[in-house]
Amino acid sequence: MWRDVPPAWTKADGPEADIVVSTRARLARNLSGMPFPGRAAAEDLENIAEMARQASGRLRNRYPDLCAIKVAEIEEEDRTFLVDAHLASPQQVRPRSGGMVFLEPGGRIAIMVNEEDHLRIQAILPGLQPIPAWQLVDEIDDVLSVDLKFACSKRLGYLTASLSNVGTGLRISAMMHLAGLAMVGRLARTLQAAIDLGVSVRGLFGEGSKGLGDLYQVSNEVTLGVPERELAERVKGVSNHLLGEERRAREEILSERPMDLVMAARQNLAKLRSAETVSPNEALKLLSPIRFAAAAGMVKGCGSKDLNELMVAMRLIRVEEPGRYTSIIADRRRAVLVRRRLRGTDI
Amino acid sequence: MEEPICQICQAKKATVSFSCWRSGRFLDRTFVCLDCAPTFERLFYSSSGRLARLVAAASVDRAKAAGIDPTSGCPGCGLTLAEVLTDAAVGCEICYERFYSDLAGAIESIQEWGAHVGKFPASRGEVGE
Ligand SMILES: [Zn+2]
Ligand SMILES: [Zn+2]
Repeated sequence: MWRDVPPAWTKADGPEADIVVSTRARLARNLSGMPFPGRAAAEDLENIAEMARQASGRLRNRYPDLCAIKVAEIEEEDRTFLVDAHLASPQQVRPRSGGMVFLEPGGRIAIMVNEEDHLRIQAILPGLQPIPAWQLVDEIDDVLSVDLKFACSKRLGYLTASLSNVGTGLRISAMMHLAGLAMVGRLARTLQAAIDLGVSVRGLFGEGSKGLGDLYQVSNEVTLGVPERELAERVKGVSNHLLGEERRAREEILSERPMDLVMAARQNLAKLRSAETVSPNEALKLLSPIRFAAAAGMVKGCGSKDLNELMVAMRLIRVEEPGRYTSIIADRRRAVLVRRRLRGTDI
Repeated sequence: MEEPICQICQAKKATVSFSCWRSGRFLDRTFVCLDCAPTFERLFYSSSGRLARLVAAASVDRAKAAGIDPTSGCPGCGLTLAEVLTDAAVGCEICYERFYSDLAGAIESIQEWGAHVGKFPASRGEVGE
């Protein structure tokens, strides 16, 4: 079953994986001759889904396991999986006419049908890989455009529902764990410098600029007037800059006050071990210094993959028993699962 | 005399003219094509349009004769320009053509640039203006 396999990006085996959790590329595409999903009738949406399904046949040569999921037909739990696997936003998985996801189980690609745009082609890779992520969605776009005619104009390029995606339709983002910069108090300044270089930065979870668990998403600000490769290079360049600053901050902490980190990580580990319940937000906050300490080789019995799963894919740790559950049960269950995962951990 | 080019899309022949009445006299005359006439007329009369304060003496008879309802929104999806600008989102690809002259500013302010550079669909047919 597709939802039993966490996506490839959780594996923590990509470049710069100690700091960059994952890189995502996304192309927005619309079929010519059809109103965009926000203005389309249910019948149009069903037709669009059917056209997408037929066109996806060609992708099966390359991705034989690709499965088509109708969001109206899946359980609440499965919707949660798609959101937690960062394959879709809560908005994207709400049940609706013609709502579909093409997914490679345990893989790198996901194609959303009929959310804001007719198609959102996504690739998510572990670590910092903006160019390969872009190349992947670019290939899928080539394959799909054999059968599908995309809305496009000479002046504006690919036409999208939102004016903020028009042109290339390409958004590339890197998810970074900036615990070191947060600890030395240079985060705000460093992020502002990154924004000045032409990217947008936002906290991964929750609103506002402060990222829970020190996780931040760096993405290209514009989609129009800059060729695709250059957008990917821009995200790569700024991410590399942030990466350098984060490494410098981490080195400072490790050489000048390593005990601060050790104490924070130990305290949080103790809290997680004794907690009766833990919400995803609490878990993120508590796990951040532990992930930092693990990257510095201070943690025994728990690797980056475990911490990625615990932090970013927190709710990917699923309740084993089938059926629905309330968030209190889930929080209690999460606490149990975190305890279990951290059982052999020592700092 | 040769028919002028549409002052909105700068592409098609203008077959409709609008005249603005202000301060007791007719101001400049705007020549538009049948496709752009509905948008232009709506801007004249809508309260949110930037031309609302002008009094228009428009001749849209030919537009109506051609089957275009000058008070409607985008012919593809029905969205009006006000809705498009409020949400910075359009309802269909035709919106981009129909509202182009008004969207260009919004697009440039969001994107800091006005024209696409990069990939186009490779295998399929022609690409519209
Ligand atoms: Zn015109
Ligand atoms: Zn439209």
